[in-house]
Amino acid sequence: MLAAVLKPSGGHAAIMGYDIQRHAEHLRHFTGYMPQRFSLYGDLSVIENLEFFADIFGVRGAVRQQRIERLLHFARLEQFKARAADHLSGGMKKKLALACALIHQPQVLLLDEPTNGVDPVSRREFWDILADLHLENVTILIATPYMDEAERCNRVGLMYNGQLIQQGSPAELRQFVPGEMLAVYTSDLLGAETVISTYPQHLGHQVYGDRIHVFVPDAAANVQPLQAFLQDHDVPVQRIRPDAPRLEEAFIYLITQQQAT
Amino acid sequence: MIRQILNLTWKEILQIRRDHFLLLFLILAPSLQLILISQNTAKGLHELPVAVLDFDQSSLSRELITAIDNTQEMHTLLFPASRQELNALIDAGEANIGIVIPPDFHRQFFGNQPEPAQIQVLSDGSNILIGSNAGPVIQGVVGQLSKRYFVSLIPIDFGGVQIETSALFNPTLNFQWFAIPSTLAFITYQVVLVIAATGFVREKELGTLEQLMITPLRRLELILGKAVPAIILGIFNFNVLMFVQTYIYHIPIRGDYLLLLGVAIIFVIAIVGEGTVISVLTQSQQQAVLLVFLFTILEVTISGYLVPIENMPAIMRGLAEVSALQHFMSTMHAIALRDASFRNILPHVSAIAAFAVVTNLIAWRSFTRVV
Repeated sequence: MLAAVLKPSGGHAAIMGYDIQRHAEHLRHFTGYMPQRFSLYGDLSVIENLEFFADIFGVRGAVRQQRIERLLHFARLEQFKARAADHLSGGMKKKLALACALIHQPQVLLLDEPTNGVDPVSRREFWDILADLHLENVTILIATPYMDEAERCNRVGLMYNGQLIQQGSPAELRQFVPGEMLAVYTSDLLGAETVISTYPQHLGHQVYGDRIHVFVPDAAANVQPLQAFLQDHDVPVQRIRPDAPRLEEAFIYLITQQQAT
Repeated sequence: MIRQILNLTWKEILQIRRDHFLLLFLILAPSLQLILISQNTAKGLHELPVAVLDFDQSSLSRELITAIDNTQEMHTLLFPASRQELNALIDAGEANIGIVIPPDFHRQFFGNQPEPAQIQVLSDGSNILIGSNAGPVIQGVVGQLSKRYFVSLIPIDFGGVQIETSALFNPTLNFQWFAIPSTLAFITYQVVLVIAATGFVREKELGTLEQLMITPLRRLELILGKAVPAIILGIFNFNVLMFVQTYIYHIPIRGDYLLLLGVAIIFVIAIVGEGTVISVLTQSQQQAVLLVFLFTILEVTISGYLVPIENMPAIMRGLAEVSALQHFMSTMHAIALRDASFRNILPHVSAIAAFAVVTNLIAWRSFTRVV
């Protein structure tokens, strides 16, 4: 919608002060957009795709050549120049799409779930590229389901059911978690969960694979009492340690709050 | 194994049930095809325009003309004053059949002269159906006329009438001369329609349309950028087919090739418009191809490809009037076989041009609404 592909059903939005509906054509020169789905020409080669988008954006002559070389290097795709886009790996496709979105040197970059279905190594590489771009003063707006990616951003907006629930820096958002956090490692998750709900200092909890994150007013002071409480109720406990809450905990907590109201 | 086949069959049925477009197509298209074709094949020649050059001007010749007019197949419409005028009417396609009644027709008919009365029947051989049926129809009329005057059945060569038929433009009534130009036009139609109909919808399916929409490309540039290659391909294809028709099938082009090419360009533009409408309004390439198939079925019958329009019932001929392919086929026959001039084919050209304007306007309207 921000890229003016979809018409908004209501409300206003502006990029760099330009209304996305009234100045859609103008904004195209300043914004780059990378859709969620791979949407380049699979039967064209890497270089042909770049050249096509360069031409469409009016990037010509020596500048075109220079910029394509630079983007190929940037996206680490130099060796695959002549390969058809369809025959690239998932990660390489994403990098090519990013390169095409950058061909006109946009000041604002809109990325829709850019690392979906990308292997961890390519994902890291992709974020390294984004970090470089950020240093070149490009504003990046990114939609992602991965909280570890959100942690790397300056400002995060948490969306749930089409609603913006909270926004702020990752540090600010982490503050929304009630109290402090204890990670409880146990071999009886199910039993532990029922018992933990009845712990007097209990503010909330979330189950994560082999552990339960319990929120209490003071983490350090509650390690011993909680351990004793669980053992009294015959719940085996391997380890309890205070842990720093991540964005993920904050997000889940905020959504549970939202659902409760 | 049977169980697994049934499992797969059930999944297919579920999917087809969800795909309303395919379902509708499966029900509609075959029935439509059957109805259209049977509607068309049931009828014979119908009220063909006939031009009569009557040098005899006797009550007998007038009786003959009325008898011809009374047949279901023919309608005596035009009365030229000279042979040149008669020929011009046939060249222009205004009359499909010309009849020449010589000055001494009635005298030879009633008198016991050694040589029988003669009439000359000229037919438009560029349409094989007219060329081959004109003679027998006139023969029938003259036979009836003789029976009335001579009571008993008299052999035609004894006090009867000799009918000299000649098919103009295609004297040997070679079926290929008629069928191949029609086929050529039909193939051009199909190829261009498929190219244009899959143009946008392919980009829609791949998601590349979304990518194009965020570029500074304007909508007019986008639609023309898709139309121009389709038009070029269509015209290239037409020329390749014309080469095959001329050098492999040795079908003459008597008229002006550049004129024919000009009409072909307008025709291709019209069909690209038609294809673009399909492409903009469908959601997948499969839907687009099914629609192309449906249009092709329609055109087989209404364009006169399967059944010449002279052979169609009135409603179908009405439909044929709005078929650009029908007008293009007629132009092909007119220029290639009859050496028709621009003025002769003007009604066809105007119809094709009107079709081009309408389809491309609809294409533009639906495109700006969707994108």
